[in-house]
This record gives sequence, C-alpha cells and structure tokens, in this order.
Amino acid sequence: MTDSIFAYAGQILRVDLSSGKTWTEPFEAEDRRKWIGGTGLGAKILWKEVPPEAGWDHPENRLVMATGPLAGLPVWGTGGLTVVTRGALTNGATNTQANGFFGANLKCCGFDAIVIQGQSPEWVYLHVHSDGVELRDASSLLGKDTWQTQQALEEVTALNGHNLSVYSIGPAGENLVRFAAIQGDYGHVASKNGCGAVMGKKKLKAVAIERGKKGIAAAHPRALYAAADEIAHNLKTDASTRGLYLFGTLGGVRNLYGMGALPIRNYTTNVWPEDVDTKKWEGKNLREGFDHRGHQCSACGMHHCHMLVIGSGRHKGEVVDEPEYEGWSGAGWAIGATEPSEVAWLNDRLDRACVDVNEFGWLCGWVMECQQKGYLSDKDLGFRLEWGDVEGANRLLQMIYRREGLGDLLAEGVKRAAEKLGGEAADCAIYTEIGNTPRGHDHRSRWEEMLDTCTGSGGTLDTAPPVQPTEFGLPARIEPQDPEAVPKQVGVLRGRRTFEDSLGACAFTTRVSMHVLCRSVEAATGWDFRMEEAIRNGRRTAALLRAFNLRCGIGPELEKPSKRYCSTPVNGPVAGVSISDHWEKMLDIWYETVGYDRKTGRPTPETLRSLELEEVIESLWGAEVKT
Amino acid sequence: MQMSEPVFKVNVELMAWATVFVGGDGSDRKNAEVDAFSGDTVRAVLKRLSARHPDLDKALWHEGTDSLSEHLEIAVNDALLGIHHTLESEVKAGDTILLMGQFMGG
Repeated sequence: MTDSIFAYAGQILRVDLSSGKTWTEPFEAEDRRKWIGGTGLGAKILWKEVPPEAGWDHPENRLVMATGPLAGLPVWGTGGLTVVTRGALTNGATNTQANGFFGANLKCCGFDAIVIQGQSPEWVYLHVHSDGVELRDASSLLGKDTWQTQQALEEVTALNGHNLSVYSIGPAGENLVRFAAIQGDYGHVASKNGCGAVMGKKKLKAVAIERGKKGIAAAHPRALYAAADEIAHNLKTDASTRGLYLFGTLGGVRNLYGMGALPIRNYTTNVWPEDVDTKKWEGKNLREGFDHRGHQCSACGMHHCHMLVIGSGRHKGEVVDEPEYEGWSGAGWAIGATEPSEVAWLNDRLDRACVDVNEFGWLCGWVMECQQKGYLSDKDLGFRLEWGDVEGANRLLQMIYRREGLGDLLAEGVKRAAEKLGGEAADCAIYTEIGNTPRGHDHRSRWEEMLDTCTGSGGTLDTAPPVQPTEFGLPARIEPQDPEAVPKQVGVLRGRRTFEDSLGACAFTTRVSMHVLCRSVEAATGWDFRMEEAIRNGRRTAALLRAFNLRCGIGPELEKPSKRYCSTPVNGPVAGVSISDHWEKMLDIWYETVGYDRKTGRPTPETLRSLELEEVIESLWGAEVKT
Repeated sequence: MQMSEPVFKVNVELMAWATVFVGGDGSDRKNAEVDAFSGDTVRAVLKRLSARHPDLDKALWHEGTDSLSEHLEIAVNDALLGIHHTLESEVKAGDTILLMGQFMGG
C-alpha cells in the first residue's frame, strides 16, 4: 500500500484457474472513486470482461469476491464480502453479500478484491495470506460440507476465529445445483443466483484468507471514529433498528406475520395453524429459547449473529448457526414447519450443503403442495413429503445436492422444475420470469419488494426496504398496497442499496442516515463525499448491471411474477387484495422514475450520461445516439 | 370548551417489538383501551394514545408531524391500513387497531 491510499489496499488479486496463474493489478484512484468497491467494482468487471456468449458456466465468466472502503476499519459490521458474477439461475448478473471476516482479512492481506476466471482442471482452493497467494489441491476436501471444509482448513493452517476466514461450497456447489450458495465463517452466506454453482464449475472448493498483517489507514481517523460512533448510536436508539440491534432479524417472523408478509405453506394461507405457540416466534423469545454463543462479525457490536445450542428434541445438544429471519422463513414457515429447534437444524443443513434457503423453501413448499394436491405422486418423488416434515425436507435436500432421482430436476431451481412439470403444478410455483425467486416474504403484502424482485438486475432485490426515505424527499411511510406510491418509492430509492453493497459493510449496520454513512466514507477515504455522489454512484452501478443483463438477453418481457407469486391472498391482513390489476401501471411509473425506457428496458441515453456511463450508450443504443 | 364524554372505547393492541414503546420488553402484547368520541378517526385515536407515551409518539409519527413514520405498521380489524381504513376513517365501537414493528427481515 502506498502512503497516499486511504481506506483501500489499492490492489486487486487476479486468479486464472485454467492456467493456475495469479497476479495483481492496481485498483486505480479513478476507479475507486467511480465504483467504490464491492458491487460497483464487480459490475464494472462483469461489463468489461464477460461477453454475452460466456454464460454462467463458461470459463470466461468471472467470480468477483470484493470488499469495500469500510472493510477492516472500526465501523460496525465491516467484514463484508460482495460476490458478483453471472449467476446460474438467471444466467445474468448476480449481486449477493455476506459478512464474517472475509473483507477485513482480505484488506489486511493487501487486496480489495479477488477476480477469479477460468476453470481449474482439478479441484483446488485458494489460500491468501500476507506473504503470498497459493492455489492448493482440494481433493481431500471434496464431499465435505461447508463447516467441515472450514474445520479442515483451520487444521491445515493452525488458525481459527477471525484469524482465518473461509468461504467455501458444499456438495450442492460441487454438483452444480443452480441455487448453490457460497457459505463462510460458520453461517454467513452469499446466497443468491447460484454463485456457488459458478464456483463449483470453476472447481474452486474454497477461498481461505488469513488475517493479514498489512495496515488499513483512514484519512481522518478521529472523524472516522466519530462517524462510527454515530452509526452505532443510531442503530442502538432508532425506533426501527433498535430491535435489530438487540435481536438481529428474529423479530421479523412476528412482525411480518402481522402484516401478512410471512410466507406460510407456499403462499396457500396467511394464517398460521391454531396449534402454533405464537409467543415462541417473537424475536425476544426466539433468542431466549436457546442457549447462545456470540458470533459477531468483524468490528460489530450488534447482538445479531449467534450460534445456538439446540436444547430439546432429536437434535438436542447440536450447535448450529442461529437462523436469520430468512432461515426461519425458508426452512420453516414456507414449508409448514413450526417447531423452532427443528427449523434451526434444517437451516443449518442447508447452510452446510450450501443452498440458498429462500429458493429451497419455495422449492420444498411447492413439492409439498404438489404432493398434497396429487400433481406429484409418491412414486415420482420416491417418498411422501407432508407439510412441516423437516426430516423429509432434509431427505429432499440430499436428493437435490446429490442430483438423485427427481432431485436432479429440482436442482435446476423452482422455475425450471415448474416449467418441466407444467400444468396445474406449474401454477403453484413461486418465481419470477427472469428465473430467480423472492426473499423469504409473502410479497403479496409488500408490493415494493415484488416490484423490486422482478425488476432487479442482481438476482434478488436491487433496492430493498426503505431506510429513512425522507432523506430522498419521500414520505416517511406509504401504504404498502398503493399502486402509485409504491413504484415511485422503489424508483426514487434506487441506488442506495447498491451503494451500501459497495462499501464492504453489512446491510444491517448501514440502515442509518445516508449523511452519516457518507461521513464515514469521507473520513475513511479523505474524499469530499456527499449523499448526492453516493446515490449517483449506486444508480450508476445499478444501471450497469441492467445493461449487462440486457446484453445477455434478459429484457423487460421477463419482469413479471409467476401466477402464484402474484396471486390474491385468500385470508390474513391483505385478503382479497391483488397486485395483478396494477402491475403494468406500476411498471410504467417505476420506469419513468428511474429514467429507463419502458419498451426496451434500457436506461435512456440521458440517464446514462447523467451517470457518466457514456461508454454504455453505444453498446445499448447504437453509435448514432452517442453524441 | 367543555369536552364531551367519550362514547365508546377502541382497543389498540401493541404486538411484540411494538410493546417497547409503551414500557414493555419487546415480547407478548399490550392492550390499551382508548377513549373515542363520535366522529373520531383512526388518527385521532392513535394521537390520543401516543400523547400518553412519548416513545410511542416518537416512533409512530414522523418528527412531531401528523404523518406516520416508517417505524411501525398498522392494521385495523386485522386488515392493513390502506385496505379498508385510512388514518381518516371513522372508528367504531369494537374496532381494534394493531401496531407492530416495521421490519422486513434479512
């Protein structure tokens, strides 16, 4: 690192698995300011280096594992990893985050990102430390789940805890399950769009990064401490984030149920069964219902991530990662499982196998419903799978990651499996036409997230729920089913999340004022950095990811939910309210708000110019428009 | 001006996390019977309740205004606000207003 670089290591590690070569290249000052890091840097690399003919499984596809300027600095939740690649579910751009220690360790080894290309002839893992980079034989790791892989590499290196960050794939990634994830540091998951399948196709079993010895300097340390303190204070005291500070995402189950947004039994109902002890599912009680061990990420003071000890039942005494809300949802409510200890155990199986818990929940719930309704026989599946059958769900998981029997089709993800089965079975499946699936919510109650999931370019939400929307000139709160206010809000907020995902920080610790976030970036980098630049930066990245997808043939004709995904809830707090009648109008408003062309889906030349993406204009619109 | 006698009560239920704004511990439920007068709206009932609880007032309303903040979600008679009721809808005897944390999960 040169003396003049603050907040960054200033180097990108390049790895060509086909040749076994590794090298470094500078992360130039101009690119740092324009793309920040994380998602921004990944988007730039995808656009420049992955041509449309290089699909997710092509050697020319890139797997970018990047962090950002806040990683490794004393700001809460800054061990951040962002994975950007062309993903296996949509065959388009992927933007997915995880935490733990990856980002901090990588920076301390002298790198802001790792860019992996090619395909190795044999299974390898990448070992990064302060003094060098090695591709090592991974044959002894094959077949191990992600926790076993991390344990094995801890033994090899004689390091553990924050001294060694390991992100790996389990059997689902090895067998190219299209919704395989990359899991790391015991319970953190970059889960979206089959990034683990990309890693598997490259025959890269794991990336292990030691805590390097290189320092990361902030331009204005005292100002950084002040900004970090303000972020922590806001998280502890803000009416929304205080619950997150105390209990992580556990409060989501009860709150989302109250809104009709907890997905129950594959969207067949919004009312939980009468025999459920609902108090067990409150955030505080979920936390207190287990014996816990702290499991904080780098530099984080949130009471968010924990290990828990299962206290009763078949798996008594097992230590698992405390599920996030998404785990309680995907491994629980979406499949009708209602006993927390059973759900926690299944969630752990999914993490170890490295599958996306959301996609699995929609897939398993769909299979359960298809069996209940006779669309899929016991013979088709090989056994009977009833609502809430956790052991059966685990059996299904094994069929999927081994690609055995019907599991081979299910490993292709919900959309492909549903289209293959067709008929009434297909009508029950939850997915977007692009090929991804929603997060663990019933979006029929959260229209902004359905719109965002369907129009997003990174394989999941682009914008996500509003945080302090008044900073953007929006009302503090809108009705969740307002067909005009919802698309306006999603459009105006576009860019915030993409910016956050470029910082090397956790999405939960960035749920604070944009002005405070920008102050932390300013103190870290020494830039004169304001909210306007941050949002322009985020919108630039979002527009480039969309341009990448358009170049790959993913256009606006695919921006719609499946029949079940946009069906009308039959009961609960939004019973009888349908988004379908408003969908096209909502898209009209969203397109106009974000400055994209409604017919082609392209960001308009004016929008691209305003985002300093002149080089994209010619590619999307032809040479005559450029001037 | 002499205040008329309340003519009925409206039940406001605070669920799980929302209980912290009225002195709870973030679990279970707390119920408040709020006086209502003829012609009262959902807004009037919520304003009357939040006037008694400064933390709730801060969480429910955006910076001391009459606009809702983003922190709490509201249902009236088990339907989300905006479906059958708005803030300006008149309340009736027996109505229940539910307040819950506005949280999306992760």
